[in-house]
Amino acid sequence: MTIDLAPWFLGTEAAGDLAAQMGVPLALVPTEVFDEAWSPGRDLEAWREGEVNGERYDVVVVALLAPDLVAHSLAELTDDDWYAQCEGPFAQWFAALTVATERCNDRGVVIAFCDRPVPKDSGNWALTACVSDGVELMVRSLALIHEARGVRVHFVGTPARIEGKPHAQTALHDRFLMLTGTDAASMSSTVLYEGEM
Amino acid sequence: MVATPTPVVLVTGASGGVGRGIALSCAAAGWTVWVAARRQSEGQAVADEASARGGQGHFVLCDTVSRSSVREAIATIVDHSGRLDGVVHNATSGLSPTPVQPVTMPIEDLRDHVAVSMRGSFFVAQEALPHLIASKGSMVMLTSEAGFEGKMRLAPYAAVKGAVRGLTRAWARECGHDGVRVNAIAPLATTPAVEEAFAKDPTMAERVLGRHPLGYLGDTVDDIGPVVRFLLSSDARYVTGVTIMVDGGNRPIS
Repeated sequence: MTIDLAPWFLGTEAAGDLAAQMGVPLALVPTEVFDEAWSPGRDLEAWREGEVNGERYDVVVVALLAPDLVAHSLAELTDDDWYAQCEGPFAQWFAALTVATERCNDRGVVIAFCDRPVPKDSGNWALTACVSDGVELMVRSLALIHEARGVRVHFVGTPARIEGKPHAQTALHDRFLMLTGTDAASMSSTVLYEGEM
Repeated sequence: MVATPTPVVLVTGASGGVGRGIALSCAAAGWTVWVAARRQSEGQAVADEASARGGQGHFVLCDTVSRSSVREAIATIVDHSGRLDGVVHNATSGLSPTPVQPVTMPIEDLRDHVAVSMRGSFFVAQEALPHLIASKGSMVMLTSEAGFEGKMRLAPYAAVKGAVRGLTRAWARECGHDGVRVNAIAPLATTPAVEEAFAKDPTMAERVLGRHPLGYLGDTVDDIGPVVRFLLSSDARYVTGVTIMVDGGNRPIS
């Protein structure tokens, strides 16, 4: 089976360069800042309902990269930081991945690119670690849900932006090519961690 | 945790299920156990059971999704008991055993999962931290097998339990410098929530027990509680940042 490798790319502004490298337009996911009451939650739900039945694609990329990656110690973490950088992104990832898998053609591929700290350096990066581990489990569940359609769902966690390393996008694009290639045709629920385990 | 004659620990969501088992197991070792819950009558009953088992059981009202409620509960404990040696964040959303389709799940339901498991972890950990630094104490978070492998029918539950593993790992690295350990367990036990899940999904019991090495679900007091008690104790002083599967070998991880 031949699949169209030009992905539908769901992301944030911070993922714009990656989308550009792949030569595809960036479809923005709502990323309003969350508060305790999840005030933007209704808009996110409306976005999901509006997007879920659109055109289907062979490959969907979801890359809700954070606009600013900021370290916080547990002692100094504020509630606003928590809602804005943990609960909000968690909800946005959930909605985006749900839409992505629904809009993926049978036997297609969905890949989530997510900021993830290397565990040994994850002190003060609890918010990012929390979101990335949550996203990994969303991917695993959605892979089970859509397995019967042959939809494969993968997770790639990268510390590159946290560590300020160059060539981060090239590495992610390489992972994209690997996971959409014919050698990976029978793989799903793959979890790849860039950097140290 | 520094060995003390009677450690003082807080267990959230302890009015039933796994939380109750943890509370009673700690009490059986003679510890002072604060049973934190939203429902006073059930929580007080568990506190009374804890006292009957040889510990000092106390109830404290606590809604872990509320910063002020967590703060007041911990202040009450420290005022009354003089210190805090361990916290166990066990509370989980009442929606946890409810099968869902992610594509149609109301965002408000996701919020409930996130608030109790993730936000509750944050509030409990942050409010307890200064007291745990003082006592060189430890935290135990409750995750789940679902937080390793995902679940077809319980996707939001699996996601928040995965997220709690991320918090555990990060806080362990960060708080270790202050002598505070942070660990997690992933239990599999007979609880009202599991029984509810089995009732809602009749295939689940066979799927879970059909290939289970020991062939039974754990007992919250005798199988799950002792592992948490170990993690809270000085016997585990060199253990941090791990998630222990307490599931009778249901999910093999080497």
